[in-house]
Amino acid sequence: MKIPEQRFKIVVIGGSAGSFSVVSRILSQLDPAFPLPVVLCLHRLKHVRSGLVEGLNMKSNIPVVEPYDKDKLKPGVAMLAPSNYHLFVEFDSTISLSTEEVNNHSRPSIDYAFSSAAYSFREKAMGIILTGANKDGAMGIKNIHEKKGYTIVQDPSTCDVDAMPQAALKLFTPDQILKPDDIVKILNGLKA
Amino acid sequence: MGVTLSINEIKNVTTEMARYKSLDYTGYSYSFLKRRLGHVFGKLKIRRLPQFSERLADETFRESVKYYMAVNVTEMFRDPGFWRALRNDVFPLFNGNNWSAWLPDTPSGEEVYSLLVLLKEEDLLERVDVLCQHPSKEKCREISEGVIDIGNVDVSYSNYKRLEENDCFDDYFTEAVDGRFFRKDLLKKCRFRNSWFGDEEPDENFDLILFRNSGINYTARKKEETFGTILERLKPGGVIALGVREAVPLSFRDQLDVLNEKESIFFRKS
Repeated sequence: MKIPEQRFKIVVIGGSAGSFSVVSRILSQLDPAFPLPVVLCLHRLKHVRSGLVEGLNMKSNIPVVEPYDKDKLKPGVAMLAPSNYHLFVEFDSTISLSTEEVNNHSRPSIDYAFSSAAYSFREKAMGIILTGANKDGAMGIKNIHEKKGYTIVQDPSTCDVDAMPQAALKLFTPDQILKPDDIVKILNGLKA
Repeated sequence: MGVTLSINEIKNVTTEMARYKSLDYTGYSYSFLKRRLGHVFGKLKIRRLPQFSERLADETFRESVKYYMAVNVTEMFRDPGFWRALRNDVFPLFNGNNWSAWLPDTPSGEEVYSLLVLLKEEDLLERVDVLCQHPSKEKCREISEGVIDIGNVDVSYSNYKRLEENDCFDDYFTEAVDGRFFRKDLLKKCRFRNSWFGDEEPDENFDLILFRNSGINYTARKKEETFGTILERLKPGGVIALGVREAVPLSFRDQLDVLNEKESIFFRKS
């Protein structure tokens, strides 16, 4: 495990099946003064609008919110993609939501969230892909890699379902493949 | 997506498009345009930008562009809690009088069909005039013919059941050789305006405006401008609904009171 030396403007975390407990664990160990905006794009039930953000907030060391369209990213705040909306980050550090077609059977689509961060923040974006049961997110985190951003894939041996990390690993070689506790160490070593 | 556009290419394309009526997308967000133009280029088999610009001169081609730029609402009763609030908290505000509703950007039938089902079940269908507006002629035709997204009928039914409504969802559809359609007789009080509301506003004011999840595709500035334009058409005491993750732009908050914050429903101060 190696703490990256480059500086970032955003961290995007994507996950699906089994990711709630991993994200919750990461957020509960995060430095309360974490200096960067965090975007969480997790596959979730489309008709259940409440519960997830409350559940994550129970243990998180930083606030977790579901953004409204055009809300601005804030350092030390995790923004969770709302159910049944895609989430994108824009050049001006605002959030755009969308009801466009599902992508990889998913809305929110992790691919979309990662790709928007890649195009808006390029080498200033960090993408982390966690446990999950389909390939959504793999192409998006590859986009971050292609734009010289920093990429971390959860070690498949620590995943409840490893299809999502494995799909990413088939497409490119990430900067690091890490266990959840090591992902936390990386995050807590970052500077704005 | 066959063609991936840079920012400058998107600016050039939208500037070119804006020369034509109801094709001004210059106020849309970059991320939306990047995806949507890629989608349009794929559907229309465009491989090079000059090819797109040349073909814009053709009216039939422009109509296709309008059609594919639209983001359909793919399910009826999206956000069942919103529709429940509309039925329980908004309809009674109009006290049994005749009233009117406007959907300024109606890319597909699902939203208006949902409204009509609720009006039917509350025995209000004859009392409400509904104006649907969209720049694509084909979209307007499809809605007037009762076209629905067959692939999402199960989702629509599931949403409907979450409303705790009467279980008569199938009654609102007819079966035909070429598929399933929303009943045309339920659409008899609907009018269609085939234009972009930024180009051609209705010359009437409304009691209810449903503008859900259209503004999210705009830039913040365009969203604010559009909201102002739409709000001018809302009667004092009238109700406007936005998408459940949309907020009223700051500069208009003093003109509105919150009716249901969770469902983004507001009424205009008298």
